[in-house]
Amino acid sequence: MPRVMTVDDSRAVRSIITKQLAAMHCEVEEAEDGAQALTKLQGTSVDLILLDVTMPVMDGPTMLAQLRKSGSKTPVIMLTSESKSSVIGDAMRQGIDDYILKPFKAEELVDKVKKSLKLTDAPAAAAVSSGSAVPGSGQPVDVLLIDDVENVAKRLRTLLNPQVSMLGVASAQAALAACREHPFKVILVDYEFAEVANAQFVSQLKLLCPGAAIIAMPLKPETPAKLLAEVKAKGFSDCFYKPFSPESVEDFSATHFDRQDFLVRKDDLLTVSGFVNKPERFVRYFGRLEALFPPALEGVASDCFSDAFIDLSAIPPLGEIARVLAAVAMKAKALGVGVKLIGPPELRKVLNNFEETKAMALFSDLSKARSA
Amino acid sequence: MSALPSPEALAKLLSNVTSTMLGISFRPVPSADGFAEVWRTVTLPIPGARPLTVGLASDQPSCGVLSAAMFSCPVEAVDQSMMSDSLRELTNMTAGLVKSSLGLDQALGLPKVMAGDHMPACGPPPTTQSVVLKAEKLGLLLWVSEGVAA
Repeated sequence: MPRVMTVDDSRAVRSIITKQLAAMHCEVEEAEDGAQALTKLQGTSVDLILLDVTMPVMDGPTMLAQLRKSGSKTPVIMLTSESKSSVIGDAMRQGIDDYILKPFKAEELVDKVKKSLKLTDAPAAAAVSSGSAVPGSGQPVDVLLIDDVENVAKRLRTLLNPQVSMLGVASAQAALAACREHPFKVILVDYEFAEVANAQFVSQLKLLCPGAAIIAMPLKPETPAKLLAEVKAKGFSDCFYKPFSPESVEDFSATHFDRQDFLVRKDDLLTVSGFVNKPERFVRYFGRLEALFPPALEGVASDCFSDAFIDLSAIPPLGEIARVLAAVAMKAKALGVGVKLIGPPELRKVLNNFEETKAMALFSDLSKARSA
Repeated sequence: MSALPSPEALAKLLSNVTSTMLGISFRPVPSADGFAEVWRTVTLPIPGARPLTVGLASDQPSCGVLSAAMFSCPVEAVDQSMMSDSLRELTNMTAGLVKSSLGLDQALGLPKVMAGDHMPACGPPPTTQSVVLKAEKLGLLLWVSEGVAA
């Protein structure tokens, strides 16, 4: 079992790290400053040190210098809020393996620790990505469903796309254990199950899986708005109503697992993915695009690009896209960003049908758009 | 010299910390909607060419809930030292982001905990930017001021 020492004056940070590393089956030693760490290291050896920079008594750089002076080559990862270039640079010269700036996501910590310890994941990736997750594999899993009625997980599994991985558990204890084992994208919590449908449990889930959307699963009420407010007061982000239907599961999947594919931004290039669903889903497809464009354009503006290049080559040239692009044009204008479209010539006809879009520049490929 | 971050920018920086570490997002609210009583305050100096002080204050219930989230334990299990520790660490992480947002290459000082609303007197009001933030019932007050209290 790898042994890791976390050196940080914050008990909260040490606690977070200890929990995350314990989930990786590491043995964790704690020290609250550099001096205490050096003393502890005289009586024990560790495989990795996670070292804060600014600490009372003895700070991280001083401890690192003394550690190296003593001949120790123990790998060190700096874990700090301190981004001062000279501090990081000096630490690099003294042979740190890596550094992590706070605040940090659990995944980043786990990845860097694994890399430094040269740990490899258990060979369960294929099973996880293709549907039911393998408990204990440590792999990221899409959905954790917590419900004391076993049939709920079975029903959702049958309705979910097989590409969406899922783990079902029936108790709070099993859920927390699962969260220590896997990062989840979405955690579904039975809202009728008192052991888990409370703010304290939601807080624990958030701490263990900081990136996960934690969603309550109540029975659909007569006044959803009132229930949603109650659910949010407990820390849930949304509701996913029982009983499930193919439509509601499709909505759920589209919301949580398709989003990245609809619109991908790389610097100033926004690429819209093709439509690969039933025709009756066109409205939802364009609706989602409409929601995704504003933050993408804000990203372009905040990265100081003067133009956004929108690649529409893969989408069907339907009138709906003009409505979306009209909103894009207004948003881009408000941000002071120019818009250049890339798409098939027939898109021009669609653009010409609307006042807001007929002046938009359309090019057959990206290189022409860039050189215009 | 760049201006201090706006209240909206400060709110984003702090919410970035809490959402990354705790999954809790804060939003800025008018100061009149803030919490009733400041219970604990942490200040963190950033000495150097452009000395700054970053402060974070909270009421007791908020501090308890945030600490419980940090320590992954029930609110009832949170003690005074855990609350001070959590608020100190949130201040430390936020100060790191404030410093980066201003492009300052200065080292962070150590955070200091004070009971009550002890905002430091380190500069006239125009040099202080502050924002009240809420996440459901949780409230925080964040400020940045030019200068470091002696």
